[in-house]
Amino acid sequence: MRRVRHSKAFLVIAIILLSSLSIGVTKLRVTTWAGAEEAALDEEIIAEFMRLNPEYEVTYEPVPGDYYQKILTDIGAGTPPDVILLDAEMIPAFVEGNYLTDINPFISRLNRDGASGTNLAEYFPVLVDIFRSGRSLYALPKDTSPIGIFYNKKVFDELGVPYPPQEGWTLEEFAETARCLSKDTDGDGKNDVWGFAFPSWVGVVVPLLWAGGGEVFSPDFTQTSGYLNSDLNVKNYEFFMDLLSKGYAPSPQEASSLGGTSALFYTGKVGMTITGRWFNVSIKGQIAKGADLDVGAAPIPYAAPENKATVTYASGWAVPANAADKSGATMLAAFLSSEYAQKKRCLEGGLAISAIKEIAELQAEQDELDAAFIKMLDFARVPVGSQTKYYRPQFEDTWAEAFDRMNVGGETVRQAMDWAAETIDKYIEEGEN
Amino acid sequence: MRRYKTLVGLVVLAGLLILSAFAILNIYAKSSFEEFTAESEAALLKSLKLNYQNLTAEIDTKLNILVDNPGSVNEVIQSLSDEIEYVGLFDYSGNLLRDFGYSSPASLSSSLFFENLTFSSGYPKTEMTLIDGRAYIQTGILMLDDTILLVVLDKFDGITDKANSIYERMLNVYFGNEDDFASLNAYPMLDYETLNSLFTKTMNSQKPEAEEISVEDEKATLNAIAVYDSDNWEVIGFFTTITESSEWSEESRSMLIFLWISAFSSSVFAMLFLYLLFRRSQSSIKMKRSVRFLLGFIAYLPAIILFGVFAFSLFGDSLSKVSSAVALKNAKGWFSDASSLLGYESERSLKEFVDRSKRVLSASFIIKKDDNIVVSNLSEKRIANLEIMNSFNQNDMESGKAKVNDVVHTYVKKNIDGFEFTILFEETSRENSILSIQFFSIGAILVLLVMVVVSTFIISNIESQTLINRTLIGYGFLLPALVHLVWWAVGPMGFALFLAFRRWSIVDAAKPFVGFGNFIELFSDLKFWNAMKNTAVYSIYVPIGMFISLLLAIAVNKLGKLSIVLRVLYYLPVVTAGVATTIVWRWIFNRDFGVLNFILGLVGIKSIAWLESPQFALISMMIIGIWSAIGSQLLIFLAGLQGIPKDFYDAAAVDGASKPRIFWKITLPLLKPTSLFVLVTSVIGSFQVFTPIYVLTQGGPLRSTDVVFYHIWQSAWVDMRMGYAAAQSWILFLLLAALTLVEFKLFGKESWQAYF
Amino acid sequence: MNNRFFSIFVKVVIMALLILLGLSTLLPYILMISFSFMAEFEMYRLPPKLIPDVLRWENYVEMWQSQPWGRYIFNTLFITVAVLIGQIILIAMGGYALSRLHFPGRDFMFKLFITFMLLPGVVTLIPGFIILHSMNWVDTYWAMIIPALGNIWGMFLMRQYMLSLPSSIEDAARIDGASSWQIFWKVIMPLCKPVVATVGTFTFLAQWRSFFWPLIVTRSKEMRVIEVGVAMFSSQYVTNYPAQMATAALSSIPMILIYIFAQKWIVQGIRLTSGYDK
Repeated sequence: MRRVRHSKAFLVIAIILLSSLSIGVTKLRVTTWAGAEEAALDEEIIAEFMRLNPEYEVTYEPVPGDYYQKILTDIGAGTPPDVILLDAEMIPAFVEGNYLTDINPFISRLNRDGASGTNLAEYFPVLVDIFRSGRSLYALPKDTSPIGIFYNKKVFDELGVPYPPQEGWTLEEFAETARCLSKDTDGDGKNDVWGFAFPSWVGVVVPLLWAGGGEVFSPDFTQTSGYLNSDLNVKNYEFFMDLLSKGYAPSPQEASSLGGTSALFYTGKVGMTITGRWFNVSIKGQIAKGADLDVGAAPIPYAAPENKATVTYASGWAVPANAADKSGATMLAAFLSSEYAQKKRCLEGGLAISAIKEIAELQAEQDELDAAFIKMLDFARVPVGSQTKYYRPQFEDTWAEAFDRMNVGGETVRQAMDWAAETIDKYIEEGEN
Repeated sequence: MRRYKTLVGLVVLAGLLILSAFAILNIYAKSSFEEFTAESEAALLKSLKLNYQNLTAEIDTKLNILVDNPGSVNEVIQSLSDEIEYVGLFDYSGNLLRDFGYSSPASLSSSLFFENLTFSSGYPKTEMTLIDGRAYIQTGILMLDDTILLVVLDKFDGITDKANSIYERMLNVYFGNEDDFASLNAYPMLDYETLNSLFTKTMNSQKPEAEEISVEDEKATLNAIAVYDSDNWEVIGFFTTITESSEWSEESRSMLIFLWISAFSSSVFAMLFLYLLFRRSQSSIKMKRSVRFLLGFIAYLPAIILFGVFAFSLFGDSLSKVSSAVALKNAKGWFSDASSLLGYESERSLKEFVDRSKRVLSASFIIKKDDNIVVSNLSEKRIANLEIMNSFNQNDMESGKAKVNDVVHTYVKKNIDGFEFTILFEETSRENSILSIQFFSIGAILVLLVMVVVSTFIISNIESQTLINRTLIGYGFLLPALVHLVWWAVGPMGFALFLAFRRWSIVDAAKPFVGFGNFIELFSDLKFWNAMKNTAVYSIYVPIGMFISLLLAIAVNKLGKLSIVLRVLYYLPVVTAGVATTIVWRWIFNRDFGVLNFILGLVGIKSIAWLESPQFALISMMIIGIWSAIGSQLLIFLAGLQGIPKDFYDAAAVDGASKPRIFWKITLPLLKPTSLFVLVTSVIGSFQVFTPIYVLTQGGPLRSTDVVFYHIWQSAWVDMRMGYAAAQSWILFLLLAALTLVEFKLFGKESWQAYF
Repeated sequence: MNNRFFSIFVKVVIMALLILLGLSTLLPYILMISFSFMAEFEMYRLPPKLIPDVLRWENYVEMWQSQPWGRYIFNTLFITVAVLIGQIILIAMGGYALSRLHFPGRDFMFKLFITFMLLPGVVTLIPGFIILHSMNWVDTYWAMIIPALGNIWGMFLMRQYMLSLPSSIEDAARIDGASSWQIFWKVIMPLCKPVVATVGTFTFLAQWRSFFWPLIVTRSKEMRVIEVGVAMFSSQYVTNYPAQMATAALSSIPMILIYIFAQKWIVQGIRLTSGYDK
């Protein structure tokens, strides 16, 4: 009995000793909100990083829910991850709260040593600017996704409707196309094939309003009244609501009880959907599962050609202000945005448009949808959330509630948008207090 | 003899406890104090760095004229002539074109600085530089005609002088990077390893760092901060200061002396007094209980008082002394930069000045002229709500404590040339250190109070050893459960009360006291009251469910064997309902394909959008509530029904009572205690519903399912406002407690006592 | 004649209703299992299809691969067992003290515990979290085990049960010179197997499906429990019902099994609580 006990103790001690053998290696943690596919690609990139830099051991931690709460709590607790993925919309709040490291000094050194991803000139300037504030740089851009229209070519072909033009089109042309695509095929008096999926998410509503000629914030970002609820914006959104009431799009409740707008698009029940380039990934997934899809992309409709606009969303790799080894963390962040990573993720993985110009060009050559989206970068604006800390979550949540008010609450567009502008302005006023 | 052993044991325990409490407090306070002084040293270094940056900005401004007027080179040189060491006008490749009468070493044009100028965008660059072991400021500009003006100014002494006279520190500058550096001639080099490790630390953290060194066999601390080139791109050197250990030792020593004297005196006092108490209770026949308690309390009183005095007064004062001394120094340094700024510039670049100061010092600034705000990094509203708590005048400066947005700051104000400059330092780390020492003391005082009870008890009953033994054993068995209760129930409740009066967020270090602010906000918070309303409506499902389950219980009761199967069926949801089953309900409630609408359709009712319409979403939650609760209510009612002795029914039957009458007059009243229990616990439970809302509706649509518990969760973990959420939970708690009391009163006390 | 007929008729109707109602409480579980084997499009069908044509095990495979369910199961089991053991020790000792030991302040302590049993726990959540946070226990097993060790209702049951044991057995042991601990461990506890089984069963079930506390104290995947995993999965794959049902089944089936096998103890627990079984 005694012997067994002793050998058990030895085993325990041995295990403890062995597990501490990783002394001498610096540990780094990376957090993202990646889903399964992205996570797989990210892990390959990280494996390559560890191969090139064996003195680092990197743990990859995808966090699918409540990402920002978890990150902020970790930072507040003093145990932050070393590299965090941040949306452009979170940058203002994080910068103001002093949660991020200014990586300029580290990039300069790493660049001198030739570390990959540290040559700022190889990225799209507009993307790097998103992550700048004054003379400081807070993150390196990962990739970008403009907002555009995906259309199901087969549906268009069957009904003999011309494709949306690549140079852009007016709201009226869009409405006409939607009308032609909407049909009642089972004779119950309601349409069951529709022209487009109704844009209710704030992420596509803002660029639509821009393309309509309006703005959502005042130039100094201190208020939304008079901008978000301007007559022009109200008129343009009423235009869309009107199309909804005419049956050219399924109502959100209908869409959700039928399985969601994506499912409707895949099965050809909805001809067009307005969303970001990331939808491309789901489409490719469906095709891989055997769906018969042929999809094209085009810019969102504008009021007049001079209003042509859209938004391009981006995210970047940042280093928290209280990370332990900032130099190593910056090197990892740079590697995660480097050419190698971009090739893996964007060129091979097709997850988004690469932030590095050269790789983006290669993507355009390879894929028709990407070519369309890259052209949109010419007139795409930075997300409004990257310039004010009141976008996420106040603006986003208020718009969602305003839409509910229009949709199920019985309010008119004007009433809801007036309420939204008033509510957001109240947040801004309280926040500045 | 035995009682003496017990007495000695008690006395020694009391003494040791007090001693160790003070010892722990000492360790805690010492390390807090050291951390705080280290932070203050870091603040001084940052001020020095700001002085340097302001100096380089000043010189940039002087050269700025050349951006648009390259011809005025001579004027510029003229204005700088007092301090010029070297100057030269070079061409793009570094050849000297003009030397203006100063001897300029040719090496000027081969430096990295010159190279960077050739790549620059045409704006002046200014940095410090080391030439022949002396520190200078070099500045240069690439002009429109592709010529480069480079000037070396002997201005660095201003910084060193400030360090000596204002900050009372010896400034030591190292040039280079953390691996390869050189110091000024005048100062001896410390050993390479120490400097290298210190510089690497500060490069990595981008903050001032410190390391222990020995200077002439005395321990001291070396502090360092990294200084960058004018593009904020490369490091060009390090500012270091040395803090003698004697700097703050006076404060630290006086704290230490106080604590040790307190420790010994109060523990000796307690031990002696307990012995005296023992004697007294042995000699006098009957000592009143209250007198015994009082005397026992007095034994520990000195310890308690001294703890309190230290935590709530002395410690805070020591830290405040440090923080005001440092604040005054930093303020003086900033004021002197402000006055030179006014000398060469007008209001135009005051904004840049404030921005730069904020970036380096992380303090707040207000510049006023004639009572109008000229520049500030605080909003007008914040400045208007600024609360000055105390102030005193010193020389030509006014300083004191002020609250900005409820956060305590130390402020210093000075009038210079018609402008009023105010600098405010956030005292959050000081307040938080004091707060944690206070928490510790409260805990220690509570332990001492428990000791009062224990000591009094032991001394009063010292005769009966068995009683003492029994008590020890009893509490010994109870201890784990008791500790858990205090640790996770009683303690948190008290802490929640504390929290409700503060603004507390995990991501914000400042946890200021806001008085009733949270509650006042709560009263006018429509969303919160909407959540309360929703929860109240939701809890209506409890009586409905109880009614249904009572009927079911009566019916099932008559079915004999079958009732067992039914019992198992009905009770299943009670113990297995969770996230998993909630997900299934999402499909059941689906408007077009869900089974519920299908069944309703069979009887002709139109499809209802259960989860999507504001009218029905809450009802959906109630349906889920009833489904998961019926089983337990049924079983309890069943047990209740079966517990009614058959004799009652027999007697009633003999008397010829009808079925309904039996029900009303016999069954129901006898079920009262059971009903009470079910009602109370179910209502309390219904107010804490969370999972269905989290999984299915997230509070929507249009906040119709935002229930109080979900709302509190959102405030605490999504909006990150834990103080506000704590206030909400207290309101909810008080409401539920009141509800419970009312229910007791209504249903009678006897039914409650039937249980216990 | 009519009367009798009528009362039998009523009885039959009532029985039928009860059985129907009983089956309808089972409905979610039936749906859960049957849907977990269907393909997505099969679910969007009117009238609703309850039995799948083909058993599509792919749903389970897909679900299993999407998250580290093995780890979740291990976490849940580990925590549940740890809480079970810890709780029993805590409440048995406490119940013993409150029922069979006599010491000053015992009744006060009992009242104190009962008061805290009835008070809603909402007030202690946030400070409890902050306390955890300051001890650096966030995202550790401690955070989920230690706070859950208190079970005043369970202690109440233990006390009640112990009160019902005759004092003669204790007296006999004391005469033999046994210490209180020995009495507790060797005499009382063996007799308490039924109540321990009851409390244990309820604790097991409650701990297995505890959701809110693990939700707020865990961050990383490695520390998640099954219920949290199910919720995360649901929020990610909102429209893929079959896969969600598979996760729901994974979480529920162990509980249902335990429930069926531990019926006796559960019923006992109800009886003890409602106080009619003294």
